[in-house]
Amino acid sequence: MSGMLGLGFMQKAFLAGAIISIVLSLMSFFVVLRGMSFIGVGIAHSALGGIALGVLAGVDPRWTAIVFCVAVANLITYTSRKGALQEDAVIGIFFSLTMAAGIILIGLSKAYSVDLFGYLFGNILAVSNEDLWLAAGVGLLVLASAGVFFKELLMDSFDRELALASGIPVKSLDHLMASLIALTVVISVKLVGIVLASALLVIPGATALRLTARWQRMLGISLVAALLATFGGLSLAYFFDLAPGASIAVVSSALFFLSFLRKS
Amino acid sequence: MNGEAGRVVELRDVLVRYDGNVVLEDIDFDLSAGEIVAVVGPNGGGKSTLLKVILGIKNIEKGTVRVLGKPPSEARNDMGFLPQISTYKRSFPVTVLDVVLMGMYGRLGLFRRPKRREREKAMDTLGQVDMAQLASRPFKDLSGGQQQRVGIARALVSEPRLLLLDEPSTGVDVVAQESFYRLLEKFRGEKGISVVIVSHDVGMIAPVVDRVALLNRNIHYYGEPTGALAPAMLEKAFGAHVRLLVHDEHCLTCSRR
Ligand SMILES: Nc1ncnc2c1ncn2[C@@H]1O[C@H](COP(=O)(O)OP(=O)(O)OP(=O)(O)O)[C@@H](O)[C@H]1O
Ligand SMILES: [Mg+2]
Repeated sequence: MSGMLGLGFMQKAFLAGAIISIVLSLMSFFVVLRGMSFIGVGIAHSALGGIALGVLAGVDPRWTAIVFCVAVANLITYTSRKGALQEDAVIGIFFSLTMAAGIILIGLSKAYSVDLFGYLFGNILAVSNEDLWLAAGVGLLVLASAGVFFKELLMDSFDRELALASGIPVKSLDHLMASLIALTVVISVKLVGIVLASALLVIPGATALRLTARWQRMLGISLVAALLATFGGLSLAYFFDLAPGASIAVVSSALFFLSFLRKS
Repeated sequence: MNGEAGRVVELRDVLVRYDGNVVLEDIDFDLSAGEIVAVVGPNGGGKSTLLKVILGIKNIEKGTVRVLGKPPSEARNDMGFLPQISTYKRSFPVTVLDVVLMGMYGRLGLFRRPKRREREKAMDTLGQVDMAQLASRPFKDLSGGQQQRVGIARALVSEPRLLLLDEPSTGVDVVAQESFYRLLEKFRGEKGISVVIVSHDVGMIAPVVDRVALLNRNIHYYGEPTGALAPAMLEKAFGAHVRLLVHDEHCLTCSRR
């Protein structure tokens, strides 16, 4: 164990893992309670388009991913409210469109050094100091925003009509949630990649909801589940030489299935 | 004509559509301070929509709506609302007390959280609907009728001047219904609160309210409860739906389904 933690890149991996676990666990709480799992998946996959734009334009892809993802998240929210289309159809369309566009753009850029696999499945052992600062800064922003509007988000998740009747601006809350999910995904990409970030937006909250009927405990359990998954997955990856992002997702899912051992 | 003393709700010539279909038309409706009225009608008659118009959460296409002399959006903190059962998520992780506290979120406004004072108020209101002993139980573990009572406590907790209840007696047993109507009487007496109760059933509700509105897209009748019970009136307003609306034991031709 001390061997693993003595390595600089593993220290950074654990630190990055801790930061995004905290953020993912809170977002996952709301994603599960608001039934936004599929929106989360859609937003996560659009990150590839944003990354590709950055690569093509020669700009830091992290920043283009943030702008692009937040924009797509709000567009999905807006379109599914305005359009006659079902929300899940809207998400399905944006999801495949932005991802396909990303792959075409990356192909066009002829930059053979682009680590497509890394963006999809994460590359936590290559976390840089800059990545850490970005995760910490954006993570704090997400936590603070969700914290400030916590009681409104909770009530709106429970009963939208009631929230409306209390004068809570529910449309704005939808856009806020979509934007926060987008930001969370972007800072999670380096650790677990796009594909698995969307899984971690759901699993810790879903595990917690299986184990308790009180939101305070659900928050706590979601946090513990995310941290366990991240640290457990990273350790497994280190000792057995596995893909870290995938290991994290597997441990996370294992915890979810373990939660079924408790009779509900 | 506006600002008549004691006018709590005032709707004039209101028209409402959903997706192009007219749902409410030519609606004139008013309510004075301390009045308890019932809105009765068949499924899809527009009862819930009428409450949403008063709450200001459904836009109207024509006409005017005033609550306590103001547009509904400015009177929200003076209204308590019990939505029709089933709008909330079943497995949501909140306790009974959490649910009642939500009734005060609007008053608290952004950035302020419920504190001890709010908790005490919530416990007090739960006591009034005989649910204080279940305060820390998960809301989802309650029976349907118990959940309704908690919903009523949540609507009452902010001490509204107008209470809007969408089918409050769904799933509530007869004993609880009676104590509930007594509770409404008490609030009316002590605080001059006004109440709109939506119901399916004229027979059940007529004896306990001041006026009855028969609503089926239009308001076909609004007045004394006895007048609303006249078979000819019901027939005119609802046609073939009459049997669903009257479960009065004196009604020989009607049967409980
Ligand atoms: N969100 C909505 N979107 C589209 N149409 C709606 C919506 N809500 C209600 N309607 C339509 O408006 C009409 C009136 O509905 P409303 O819910 O007000 O009836 P109600 O009298 O409350 O019926 P119930 O007794 O079943 O509760 C119905 O025809 C319904 O289909
Ligand atoms: Mg209704």
